[in-house]
Amino acid sequence: MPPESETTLAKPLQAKDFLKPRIFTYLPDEGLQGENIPSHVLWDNMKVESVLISFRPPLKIKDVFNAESWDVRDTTIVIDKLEVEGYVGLSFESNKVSDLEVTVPVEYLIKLPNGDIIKEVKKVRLFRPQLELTVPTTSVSIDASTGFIKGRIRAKNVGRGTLVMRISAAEDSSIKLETPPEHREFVERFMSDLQIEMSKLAEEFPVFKPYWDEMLIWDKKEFMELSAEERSKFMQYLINLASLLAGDKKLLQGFVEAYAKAFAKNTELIETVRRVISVYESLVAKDILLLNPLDEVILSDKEGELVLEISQTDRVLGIYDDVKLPRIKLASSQGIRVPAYKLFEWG
Amino acid sequence: MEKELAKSLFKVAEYVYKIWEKIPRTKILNQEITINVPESIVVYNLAVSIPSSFRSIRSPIEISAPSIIRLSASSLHPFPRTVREATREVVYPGGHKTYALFPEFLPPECDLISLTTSYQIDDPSLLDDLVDREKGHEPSGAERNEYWMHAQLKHPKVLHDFGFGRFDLNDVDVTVDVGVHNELKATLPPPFISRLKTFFSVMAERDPRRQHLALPKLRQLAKEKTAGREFKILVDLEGLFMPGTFSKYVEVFKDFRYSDCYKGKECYELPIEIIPKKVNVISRADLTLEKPAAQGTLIYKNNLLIEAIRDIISSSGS
Repeated sequence: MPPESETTLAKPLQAKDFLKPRIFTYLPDEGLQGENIPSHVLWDNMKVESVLISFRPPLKIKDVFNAESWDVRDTTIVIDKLEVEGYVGLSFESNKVSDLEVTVPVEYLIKLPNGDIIKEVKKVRLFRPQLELTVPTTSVSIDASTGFIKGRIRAKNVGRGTLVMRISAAEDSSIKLETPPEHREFVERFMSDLQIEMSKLAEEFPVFKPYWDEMLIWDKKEFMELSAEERSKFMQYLINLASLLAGDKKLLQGFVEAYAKAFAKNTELIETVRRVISVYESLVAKDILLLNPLDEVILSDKEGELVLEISQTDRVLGIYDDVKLPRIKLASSQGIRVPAYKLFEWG
Repeated sequence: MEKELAKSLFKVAEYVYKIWEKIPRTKILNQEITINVPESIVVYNLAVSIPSSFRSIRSPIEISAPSIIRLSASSLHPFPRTVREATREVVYPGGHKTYALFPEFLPPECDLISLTTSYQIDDPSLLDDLVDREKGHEPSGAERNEYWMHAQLKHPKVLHDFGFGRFDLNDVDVTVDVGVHNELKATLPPPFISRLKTFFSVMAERDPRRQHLALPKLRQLAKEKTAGREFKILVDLEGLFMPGTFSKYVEVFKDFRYSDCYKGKECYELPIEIIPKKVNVISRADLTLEKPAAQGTLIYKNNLLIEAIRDIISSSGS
């Protein structure tokens, strides 16, 4: 009797249906380039002699579960001895590639003791965001009275997935970017109060203490400058923290409240409104998150030269090249402070 | 790694098993284990046949390990029932705590008992050692509002080799970060934000001369339909992201089920208390030796959230 896939079971269900040989393979349909892609094969009421799985780059095997012996040759894994019957688990790494979207077929060949081979093919579409920047002119003018900016830089996410970006001024830029002092003060006060709240939480929940200690270490590092290894460690840290919080409702409540308390201590009503505005303004375009929407370009004279640099990443902290924009001349009728994101026309 | 894992998980179960192995004329018929992931509690269940002379054992059977939090006994025959009086928590002078089973308190007709020992595991990395968990970081599907979730046992052999009649790993969590920023961007009307900005700039003005100049702006604001109601809108918007409300905008399918949610923050970004850019949604699945892998889909009903945001804005007349 040929094995059935789970979707072809006869209905209404009968007990005997569950005694039939069944095979089920899983692979997500889509994924972000750079994230881990899991897969598994489950079977029931039958014996399997070996499982052969073929795939293509940018997938790369990371882990095989429940295999006593297995062999990887380039893009093929042969599992010829299982530890426990009925299951093979896989975890693939996916690398970021130049194509914005790539579809990778994964072929599962399941060999039965009688020599029959069952073939299943699944596909995963791997995508990524891509920032497209266009500088239409190197002369940008700002109307000091209306705030109108002529000659804005065009920015658009032409890929898929969220692009996280930061705008900064290059070292050789005569005009600098600055975080408004009141925001800097808020950050300092907030962090100091958050530290107090989190220390209390770590005392109440000793299991949380190493997580909080680690968070302080990560907080001191510049996010966009982390190496690939550090990014991977940081992602794992975030997963572990989420898991810790998911495991203890009281700790989760305490964690959320610690932020709320530190926020409330430092925030007057007017500050709350400011923050809503800043969230809104950081949502510069669909699928682009700007990390520093409050940073301002300071034009102290009527004109100056500005060289902007964009650092970028995605939801799995993938490494993307920094982009240095051409030098632009900024002119206004008077000295002015302008939020840096306003120099862009977001697509 | 596998040996350490087994030791960490089953040390107490093995200890309890060995106690029963040594009691003459009893026979262990089955052992089952359930791990409740959120509480990190292992529930170990032994089914044991006992001779009629068992009740005449006068000294209690002591089961003592610091991690044990509960011991209970049930008589399985002629019908299953818990025999509360047969187990006790005992504290010796000096503080040493033990759990004890008193055979003489078991019902006379009982020839089959089930003994359940619950113990705590204090190993935060245990779940990661046992289970490979992955999730989609970006939405997928035709409407781009689905997040996949996956959990699978890393070492089923460790569990299999113990010969448990049943092994359940309950409530394995996967937390998905549901991005809500696109809906906010698409739905919050720019005039609303612009009113907030005007309000803020007027309120923040300290220079009396400039305050005077700002008066026309204030008059203009007062004429707006929603004048003075911006804060109510903000509070109502915030309410959308409270766990009880946001849970209406997510649905979890297949092997996973919805558990909880909380407002998330982007990496290296200060928390924005009023409106988050993402909400962390915790879903859970059970794994067993028969079903060592679980897959699920979280559907974020973004259209309903958009409607809810629009309702809040429009009901305030914006």
